[in-house]
Amino acid sequence: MGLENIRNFCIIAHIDHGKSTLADKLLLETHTIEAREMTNNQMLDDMALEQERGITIKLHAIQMRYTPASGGEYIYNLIDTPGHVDFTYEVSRSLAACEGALLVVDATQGVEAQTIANLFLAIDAGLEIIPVLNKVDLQSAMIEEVSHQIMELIGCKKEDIILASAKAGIGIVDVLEAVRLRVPPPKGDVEAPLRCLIFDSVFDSYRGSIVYMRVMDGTIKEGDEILFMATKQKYRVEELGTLKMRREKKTQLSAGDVGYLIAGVKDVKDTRVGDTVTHFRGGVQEPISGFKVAKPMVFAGLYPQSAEDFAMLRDSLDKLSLNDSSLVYEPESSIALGFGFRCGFLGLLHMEIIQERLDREFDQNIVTTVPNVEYRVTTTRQEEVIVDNPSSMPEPGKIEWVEEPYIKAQIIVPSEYVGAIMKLSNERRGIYKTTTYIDPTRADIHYEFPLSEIIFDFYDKLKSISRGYASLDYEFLEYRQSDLVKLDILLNGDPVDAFSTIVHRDKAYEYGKKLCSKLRELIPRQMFEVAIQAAIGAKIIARETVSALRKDVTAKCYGGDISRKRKLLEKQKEGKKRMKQVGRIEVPQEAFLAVLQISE
Amino acid sequence: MNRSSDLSAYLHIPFCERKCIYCDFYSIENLSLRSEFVDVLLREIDLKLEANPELQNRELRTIFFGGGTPSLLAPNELDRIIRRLETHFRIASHCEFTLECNPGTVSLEKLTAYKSLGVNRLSFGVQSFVAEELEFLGRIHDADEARQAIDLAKRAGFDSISLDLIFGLPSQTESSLLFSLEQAIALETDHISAYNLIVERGTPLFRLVQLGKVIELDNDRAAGYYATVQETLQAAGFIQYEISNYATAEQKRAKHNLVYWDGFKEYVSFGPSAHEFIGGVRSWNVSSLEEYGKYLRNGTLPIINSERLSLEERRTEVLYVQLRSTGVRRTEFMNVFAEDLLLHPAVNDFIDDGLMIVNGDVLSLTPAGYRYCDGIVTRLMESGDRVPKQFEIASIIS
Repeated sequence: MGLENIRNFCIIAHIDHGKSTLADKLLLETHTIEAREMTNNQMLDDMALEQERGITIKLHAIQMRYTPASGGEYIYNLIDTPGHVDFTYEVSRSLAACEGALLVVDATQGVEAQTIANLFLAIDAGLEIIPVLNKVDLQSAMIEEVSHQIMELIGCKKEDIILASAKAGIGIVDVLEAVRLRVPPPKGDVEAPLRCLIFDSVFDSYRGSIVYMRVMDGTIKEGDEILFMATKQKYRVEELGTLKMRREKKTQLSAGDVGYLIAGVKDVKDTRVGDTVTHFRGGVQEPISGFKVAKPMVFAGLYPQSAEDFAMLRDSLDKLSLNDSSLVYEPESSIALGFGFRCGFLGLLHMEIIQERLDREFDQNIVTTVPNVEYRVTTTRQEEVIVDNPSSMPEPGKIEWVEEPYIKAQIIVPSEYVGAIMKLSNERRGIYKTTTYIDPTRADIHYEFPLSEIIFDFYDKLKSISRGYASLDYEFLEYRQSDLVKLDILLNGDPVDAFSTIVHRDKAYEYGKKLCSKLRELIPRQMFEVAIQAAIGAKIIARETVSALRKDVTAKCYGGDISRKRKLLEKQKEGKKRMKQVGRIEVPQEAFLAVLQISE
Repeated sequence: MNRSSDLSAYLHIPFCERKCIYCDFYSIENLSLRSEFVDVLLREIDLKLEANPELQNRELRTIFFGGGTPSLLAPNELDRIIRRLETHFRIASHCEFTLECNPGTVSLEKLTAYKSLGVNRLSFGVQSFVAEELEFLGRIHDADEARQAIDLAKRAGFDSISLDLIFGLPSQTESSLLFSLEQAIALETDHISAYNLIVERGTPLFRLVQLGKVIELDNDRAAGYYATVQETLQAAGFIQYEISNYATAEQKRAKHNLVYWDGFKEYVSFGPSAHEFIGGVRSWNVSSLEEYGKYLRNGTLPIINSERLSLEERRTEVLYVQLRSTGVRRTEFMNVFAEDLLLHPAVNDFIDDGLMIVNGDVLSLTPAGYRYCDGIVTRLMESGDRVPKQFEIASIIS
């Protein structure tokens, strides 16, 4: 089959706008899967976690055979894209593997910020955009308004928009036809030196790293010696093929094809998303542009509940990182929490996913410290220190200045919430840039924020003040100087490093007060009084006290009570496992995330 | 464990004229089953000795009749039971022989008869000297009857008399507690047990609390009352030797109960719901007189369950029972559990805080420490050895 009969495309959509349902219907319509094989869940999400969150966390690709009524046969490669702001880079690599994109917009919701962000990525990548207005069969569908939003956004004509309802099966064939007629076939030279773009890789415990890629130029065969250009690793192709419901083995893949590659790679870190695969001999010199190593933006300490589980936590992180090359971690120690790991995440969602997977898949009880960003500190000796852990912040007297990462944020929100959004943004040290209106009812607001201000609960706040309508996208901007101080928490006079945070000076007092009072709620009464203090340097700025428990004793214990009492004590001891012993004070693990629960 | 050493015996007499609302010990109010009960009890004694011939001829150092209300036993019934014990065991010459009494069930005649049968210690469930409190608890006697009962006991020749008090009642005030304490002290017994009221599951009191009809005293106030009890009894010449027990002198402590709080000593038991501990195994009887009778009439022991303790479980129990009373004997603890408690990091904190004290070989709780017994023990359940050392983890990392 020639290149003219291949179409590579992806779907851009906001969460819940129907991407997965549409994908499933395309699979059914092309008989890639039969209805009876379809479970209740959408086929493209296979991690339990993804299904629960309704977010496609990792990319997948699938091949369909489409036979239009007008005759002929086409190969469609649908490349799935993650929908969350933490994964912008992955999205951009998926887009680079396509020639077209379906822009799916929920007719009852309208365009959202992430959709726009991803749409612009797609336009920048030169993709043909096919707008699909989904859920048009619902009563609450605003076909006119949302169509206008779309026309405004991509400058298309009204008749270019496909009206569809994936759930009801409306417009499915129109979508397939539009892909055939409007998405250009892949370019590429089968004879040219090999260039393949990796858009994902997953780890299989039997086969090693399985690479998902698009062949841009050339031909790759089983047994070829290949080079991963960014990591400069040489391997031999063990197996390759296309991606159907299962992997389908082929002897070769050529320019325009989308498929998988297995080469006995032990570590997904050797098969980075965005890297170029070429032949070891006679390959290209220049890799496909746009590769970067996804840089962690958010950092937190992960500690085992009890010290003896340290090795287990390390093993679990090792295993997780096999499948997640963006997870970085290195051992660190905390005076309060003992030995653990400082982990870097792409964003807060990424962090939550890792925490949940450690809990669910590895049964690990972990204590997580408050997340923070990476600071650049210039000392009085003009040395630059990178600080990814508040406790490693130099002393105030030795600091010349501190820089923190800023991001560029785009918030799309119905116009009646603009005031509330602006108020929230000001509280978060936001710098207002512009507001434009996508249509009379929807504002597109641009702000600059210190990243640290939006990693905790900004997104949740945004959602709650806009009754769920606001959407957010952001990208890294630059490092900027800020008046930042390290705030310490002392328990009975001893600083607890795991509670230290870096905050803006103007917010330190308020924050210290709230944190102390939150901790007073969370720390249970002990046999002695516990003083909770917040301090900047040597200066105490807030104090709370947990009064001593006055009695913890059972009055009666005779022959008939001993066994029952022992079992009770064993239970209590079990319960204590949820506590972390900090010096002599028992601190529940939630306390280490107390800062996240501080309300504005 | 020295199997030929002293043995104690507990006998559970499961009858009460009326059940008190707070009590979760097994007893029934149908007193007519009493003589039948004595028959099957004797059967149990025989069967147990048949099944455990190694118990034969061991010396009973303490005997305790608890309940229920053992003072509902007629002297001739008690006599039958004692005679049966004597056929199987040697009874030590200074055997402590305690019988629990309800002040509403005694007479001089009855107590004199008990005395002649060998009973040498009486424990009276007085609970309070305040009329409303006694009524709330569901006691069948008033404060005067309690005073009279103790007077009768003395007249019958008993010189070891204990009385029980309950504090922390929902309606109790500091002054009503002090009143009861003073009244108890004035009776000049050599032993007082003062218990903080526990709302036990399954009791009428538990239901009242659940329904919101009775509001439990909050823990802070109860703690204050506990301190009052400790201080008042100490000022009156009593020495606290267990969380809820006070005696005027060391030899006046309840030897039978000290066996429970020893953690190593063995005791054999008879009667429904009774627990025994022999050869590292704890077993207990069915908590139903009817079932109990059925088992025995079928010629089987009425043991409903038993457990052999693991070393860790034994460690927990030894810590718990020894600390709540006279303290842990460190050398013995080290011999059995291969662990010097003084090396446990928490122990030194507790000593610094004045909650624990070392006296020769014994590590015990101070009066202040008694208030935190449960918390201290849960902390010590984490064995000192198992607290990982820093260098071990450092080697894991590298």
